[in-house]
Amino acid sequence: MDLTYYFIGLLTGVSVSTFFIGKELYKYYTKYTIQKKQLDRILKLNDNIKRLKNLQTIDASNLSAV
Amino acid sequence: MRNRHKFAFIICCAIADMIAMVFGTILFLNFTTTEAVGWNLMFLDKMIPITILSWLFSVTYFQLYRVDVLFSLDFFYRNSWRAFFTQRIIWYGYIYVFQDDVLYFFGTKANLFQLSFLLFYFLISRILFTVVINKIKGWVFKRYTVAIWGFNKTSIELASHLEANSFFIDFIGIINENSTVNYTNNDDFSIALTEAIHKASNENVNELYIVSKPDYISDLNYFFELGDKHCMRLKFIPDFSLISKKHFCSSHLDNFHVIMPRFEPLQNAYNRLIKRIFDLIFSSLVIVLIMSWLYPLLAIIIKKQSKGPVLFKQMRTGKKNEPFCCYKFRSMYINVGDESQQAKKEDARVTPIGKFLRRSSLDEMPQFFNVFLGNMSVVGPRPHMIKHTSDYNDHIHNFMVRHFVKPGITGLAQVSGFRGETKRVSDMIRRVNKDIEYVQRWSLITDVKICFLTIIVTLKGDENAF
Repeated sequence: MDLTYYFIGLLTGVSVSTFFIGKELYKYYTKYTIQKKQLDRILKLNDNIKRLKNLQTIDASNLSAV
Repeated sequence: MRNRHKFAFIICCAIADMIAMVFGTILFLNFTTTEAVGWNLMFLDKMIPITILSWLFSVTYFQLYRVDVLFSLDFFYRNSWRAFFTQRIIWYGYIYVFQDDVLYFFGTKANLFQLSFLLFYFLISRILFTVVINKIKGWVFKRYTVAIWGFNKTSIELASHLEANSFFIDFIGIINENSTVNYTNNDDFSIALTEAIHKASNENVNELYIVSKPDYISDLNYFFELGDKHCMRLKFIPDFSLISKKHFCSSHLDNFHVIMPRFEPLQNAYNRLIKRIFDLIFSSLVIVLIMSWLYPLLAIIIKKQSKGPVLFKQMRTGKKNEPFCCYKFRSMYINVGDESQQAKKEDARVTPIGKFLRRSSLDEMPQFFNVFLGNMSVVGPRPHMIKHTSDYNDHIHNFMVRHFVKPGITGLAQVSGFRGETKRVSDMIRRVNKDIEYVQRWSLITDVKICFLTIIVTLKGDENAF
């Protein structure tokens, strides 16, 4: 058996599969880190909106009391 | 400084790829001489120019070395693979056209070594490029700083987009994301924005995105002038997140800013021309090579098994909601039941040959005549009966969007498993969503991909086909 063909096949297979698996893993890693940041920001925005709503209800109740 | 690094990176990538391509061909030529393939010298001499030209064509077509404001590594990886694949097809095509013994060639050491070398190079080079591009920001002495002012849903999405692609810019984030100040009127907002511009200028921000609701801003030019004064590029992005949950598509009509609910590539006349040429070539080939013998064969069997015409003609809804006559091989007995009723499993109206035709989707073949005539396309949303169109239009608000393009023989919905009978409205909603996705994502490559997937789905046999 010619080992050269075996080696070429192995190298080609490893190259192609590593390229595609690596590409997907890198995509997943960047998406994960960016979405984590995005989620933190959305939670912060949500807190802001909640705080604003609370302030508005307090203002409205104060006005009705007056 | 950002341009110098960006161009240096892109040019280095381009040169490295080209050298690898040429080296791969040299490797190939070396083995052909040692293996004595027996190809003529004239042919072998042209291998290197053919390699260079085919690679140049591929990278130009896929815009692999496109220099944009933002650099997407995902786009770079995807298009690297596509360009390499296209180059190989052209290269093998050249050998196929000018040489006879192609099958022998595929198994030669020359071909295998070259292919193996190129694939290995692509893996190593892409890893190296990723490492370099992630480190490049650290090597820049004077960075191009970008920031966002305004904390809302749009600015959060913009921040994520910039963070994902900020290899050549220094994105510092949303500068007022921790602020608790609420703007009750335009004056408060203007004071806060003016202060933010001054502060950003002191912090050496080169580009500032202002993301806010348009009604907060009373004089946009004043802020642009303020930005100019501080030698800072100011960009305004309106925040529509409070008036719409969905994303808009925006473009320009001369100087007018146009906002549309969705992007439609087929609104471009050149894209429509490309699709029409593809349809004409595809349908002509099918009519000449397949329908020429299949039609008479099936016509005899259909006529033998049941009385009636070979072709079943039905009015269906086409592009712009205009009805057209859709052709199919007749798969049911005539004058049995309601024609407008959808076919069900074990339908008594179906003839024996009709069963086979429906299962193998061969009953749709005469629709290539519709494609040739121009009232259908090879790929597109499936045309429905006029009655069904009006029924579904009452239940599904965006149903008519699928009629912005020509209906097709196959479509994205069909290869995604949404074909056959729709028992519930929710089934149709899913199908319509896939059709709209196709309208928004059209490209010639998508069409070719759908054609291949249709062949695979048909050969595998779809349980929804009956």
